[in-house]
Amino acid sequence: MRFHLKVWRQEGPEAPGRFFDYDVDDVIPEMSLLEMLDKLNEELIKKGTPPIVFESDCREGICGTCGMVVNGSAHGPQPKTTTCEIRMRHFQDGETITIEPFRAAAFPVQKDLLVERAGLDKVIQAGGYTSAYTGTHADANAILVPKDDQEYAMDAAACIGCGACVAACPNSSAMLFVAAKIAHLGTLPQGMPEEPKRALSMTEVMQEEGFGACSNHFECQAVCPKGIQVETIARLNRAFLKASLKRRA
Amino acid sequence: MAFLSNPIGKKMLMALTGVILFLFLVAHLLGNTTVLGGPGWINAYAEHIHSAMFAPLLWAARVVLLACLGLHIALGTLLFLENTKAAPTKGTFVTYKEAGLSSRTMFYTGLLILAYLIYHLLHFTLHSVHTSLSVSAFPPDAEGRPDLFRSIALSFQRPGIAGTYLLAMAIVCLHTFHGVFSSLQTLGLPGKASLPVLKRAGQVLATLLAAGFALVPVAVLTGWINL
Repeated sequence: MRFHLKVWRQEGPEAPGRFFDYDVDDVIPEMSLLEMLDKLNEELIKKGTPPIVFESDCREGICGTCGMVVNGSAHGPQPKTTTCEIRMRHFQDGETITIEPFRAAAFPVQKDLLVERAGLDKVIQAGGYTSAYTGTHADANAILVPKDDQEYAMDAAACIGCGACVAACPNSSAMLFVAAKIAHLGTLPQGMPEEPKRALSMTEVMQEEGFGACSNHFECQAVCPKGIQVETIARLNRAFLKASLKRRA
Repeated sequence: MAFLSNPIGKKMLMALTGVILFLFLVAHLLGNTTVLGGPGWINAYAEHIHSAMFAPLLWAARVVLLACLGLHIALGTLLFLENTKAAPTKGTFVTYKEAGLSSRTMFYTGLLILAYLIYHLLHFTLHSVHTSLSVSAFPPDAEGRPDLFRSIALSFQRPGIAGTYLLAMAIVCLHTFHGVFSSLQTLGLPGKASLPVLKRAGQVLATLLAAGFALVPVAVLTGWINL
């Protein structure tokens, strides 16, 4: 397969960026999008051109490190798929593919496709701790959790913190990310006691870090590689309201 | 004021005032249906709500609605500015998957509704535009009540006025099409199963409301209602 790429390249955080055109030949359909970029980078290095900078780690869709906007869609056109999991067979032979970094004021571009996502870490830090006994680990079934709660918490815990929700959101809000964490921790007995504090502090820090507010566009749900549902946002809103009333009292 | 400095807190007050304004529209629509009953009905209804008995209630409602409107506009503008700042650019090729025209134009349709609201109040409440068509320009009806029916019918017989009102209702529909469900979501109402149902219900409700309001000018234009 051969592809024509339009890749966003930017020298540094302050430098102006623009799209560069590249042609990649002899692409194997089974290659992932990142492997195709690896191949292009090898060719660029041979030519003496600086390679395209992008992040990746596990390359199996569980770490949340990779992430770019492919053809106008965070993590590319394939639903519930991270960038590293998209195979080149998902594109048409000869297609022009546009690749640009995740865009948000809270995600400043560092170089090419690499963005700073420390804002999400700050939000996690603001979430604080969960009440769990230290020492010898507890018996597996010492704390009973209803099956539905387990499933619900597990679905929310699938969030890998990649930031695609922020990139897709017209307001660059991190609500789906925060909602996933709140839903995951607040549904389980170990995380339940701190839920009010967590709901208040995480949303406050979200705003401080420059993420927008939620307008319920639901673009986040459409691009989430882990299928986190916007219903968790309604749950977060309830948790916030309860916490605010409690703080008042 | 910690509640209002939080992004969700701002959204919640925005949603709550939006819901109150929407409920007012529902009540307004119910009042409007009396036009379809002819001059006897609408004139009696208008005289009734302006009577001394209802005056305190009417003014209380006006104060609450004005406060809601002010908060809704102030918070909406604040959130719009904050969100624009958070997302200075969304890249060169943006594809929308779930966000429709309605959700993406909330701020602008809101501004247009404000402009329409001012015009509507000048027309039917303050009688300072289209004065030749205002209630005070006509003699009282057979029962001695202000002849609102005649004012409405003669106003909407002019295609320009009827067209403006119909366009405004299309914009109200666009705004509430996203607004009704979005408010409920922000207030934390939906659960896993009810979310898609509430979303659809909000859209249907918004469409029905706007269609109901559009019925009066359409009925006048088509001659269903005439003097």
